[in-house]
Amino acid sequence: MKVKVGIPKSLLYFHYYPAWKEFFQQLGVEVVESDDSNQSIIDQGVKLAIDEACFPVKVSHGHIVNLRNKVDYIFLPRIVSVVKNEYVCPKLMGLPDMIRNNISDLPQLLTPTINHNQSWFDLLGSNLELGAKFTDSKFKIMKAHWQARKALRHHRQNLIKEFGRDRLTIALLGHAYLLEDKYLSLGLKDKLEELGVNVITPQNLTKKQIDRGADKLSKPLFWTFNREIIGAAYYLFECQEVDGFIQLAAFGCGPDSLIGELMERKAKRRSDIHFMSLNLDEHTGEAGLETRLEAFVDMIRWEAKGA
Amino acid sequence: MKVTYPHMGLMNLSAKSLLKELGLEVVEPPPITERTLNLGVKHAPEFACLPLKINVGNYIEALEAGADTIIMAGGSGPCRFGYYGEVQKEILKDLDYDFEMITFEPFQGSWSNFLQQFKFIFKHLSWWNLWSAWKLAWTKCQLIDEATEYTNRMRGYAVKPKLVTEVYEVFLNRIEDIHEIEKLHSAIVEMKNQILDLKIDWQKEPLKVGIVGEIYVVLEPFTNLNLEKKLGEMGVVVNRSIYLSDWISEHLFSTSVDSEEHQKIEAAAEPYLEHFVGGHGLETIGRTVLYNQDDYDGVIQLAPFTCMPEIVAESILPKVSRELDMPVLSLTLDEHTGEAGYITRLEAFVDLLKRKQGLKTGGQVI
Repeated sequence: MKVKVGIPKSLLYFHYYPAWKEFFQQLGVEVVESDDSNQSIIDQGVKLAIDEACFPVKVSHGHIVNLRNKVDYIFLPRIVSVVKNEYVCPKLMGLPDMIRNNISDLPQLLTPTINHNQSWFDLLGSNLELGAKFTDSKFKIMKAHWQARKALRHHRQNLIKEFGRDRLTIALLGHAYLLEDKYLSLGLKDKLEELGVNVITPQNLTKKQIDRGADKLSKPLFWTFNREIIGAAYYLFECQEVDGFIQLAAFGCGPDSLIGELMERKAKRRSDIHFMSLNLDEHTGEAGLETRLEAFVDMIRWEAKGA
Repeated sequence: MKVTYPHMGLMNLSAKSLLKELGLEVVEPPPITERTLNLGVKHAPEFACLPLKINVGNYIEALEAGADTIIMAGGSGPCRFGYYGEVQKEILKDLDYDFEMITFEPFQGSWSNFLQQFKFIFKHLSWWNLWSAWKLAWTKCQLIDEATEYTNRMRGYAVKPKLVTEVYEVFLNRIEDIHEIEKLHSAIVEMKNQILDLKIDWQKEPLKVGIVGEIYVVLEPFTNLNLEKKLGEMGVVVNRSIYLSDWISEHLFSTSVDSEEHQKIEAAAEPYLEHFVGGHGLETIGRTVLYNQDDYDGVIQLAPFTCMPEIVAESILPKVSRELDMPVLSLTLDEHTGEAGYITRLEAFVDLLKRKQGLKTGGQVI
């Protein structure tokens, strides 16, 4: 029987899953993903995590529980930094420790440290160490490492979107782990598309576009994923091809509270930008969200007609 | 140019000394009050941590009092503190204040970049001036920390802890007007002697409590509702894990990262937390373990609401407490923290520790 490695479908899964899956599959390991977020996962997570943790971190606890009895290992990398001189949020850095100390009876956790502030050699080293659990062939691990990188590059390339001017376009500013998780974001993306809106997210922009936006910051931002969000916002503020902006943040997200403030203040100083902030948590109701979305879209349409 | 800076505990004493010795006109923000907090809460983002909000309140009150230049420290993450300045600047800009904000970024491997930031001071100053101003302020900072540590210990032994507080406060008041390093040293010796002259019960075995957590709320009595004094006046020996002087050498000059002391903390934290998580999250865990090794009776963790590194620590502490069999109380502070509920929790915690101490020594358990 094949060894089973579980990957929780939460947090940075949404950025890196093509690479993670490819890596393990290349090593001949069976990859088991946790279920899509659902009420029982959320309830479990909220129960196990401490009150003050942000909503996505709470839910990630639920995903671990969901995998607990299904697999031999759980893959939960300690991601410290994915771009040189930048970090991810402290909660993601400490996630393996939070999980380990809060959930009992876990299968063995695989927690390689991903830290791009160290040399690329260290990275390869941690992958070799991780792969050594499953195969003796260094060559096989190296190959898996490169294949995984290729898969990720390919995936990112596919996300890049040209946006036409044929329909109303709204930019959704938020973490991929909110926007791409249909249950957590209450199907926000689909709902907008049903309203006839073209949706773009920070992941749809090229690195160059993001950099152009982020260069407008008065000081380089040190959180990679939040830099992507605010970079996308600042870029799109300038290029005028987007009709409205919705900032989607999760309850208790530290970095979002700061960049949200910056984006909102910049947007409000201009009369030609429509900007709305939404905050999600386990209590957010679908009906209220729908009403706000419809009102926002109606307002933009109405103004476009009036002009 | 009228410079100002945010409050953080007793930092203003050293900051004012430094800036004044450099010949700058200083407009200190009024002491933190309910109004300061309300101003901050009104204008800062809801989920920002408490220090950011109080900073904003400080700035507004200082700008109202005539300041036009704000001095602030920066940072390079992952704690939010490193980006405070940028957000605060935008908030104040929207309030139409006319000001300049100077953010000092920590030392990052290059002296010339680091010193560049002091250009506005260098313009009219010699190296000697700068050095002597720094030395005076730095001595004040270290001596204040020493005095605080001493006071926190002696309150536990004094028959009337309130008198220790009084001597300490006299010392703090004196320090502002002292401009010579030798006099500073003799002032602290005098303070210690005055405390020793009080009635002291050396036979007593006071409870010992360590304080860990996020530096701002640990240092700023307004946010922690005077925790050290309250505990001290209940007859508890209090030890604080972080002091301003440590923070300055650690944050601005990154001196202590590889130090022996820090390696000890990392080793102590390792069974529970294997990696730094920004801020003082790792130190919170490591110090808690070390307090236990030093026979402390309990530990109190202080953190502002939504503080990311401390959330990681807080979610790990229950296990640390269980395994070490040492009570740990986590207190989360924000603008809604009420004094009555807070005192009740503190008293309950101290009672718990007393009971545990009684069990250990076989004494009477009430």
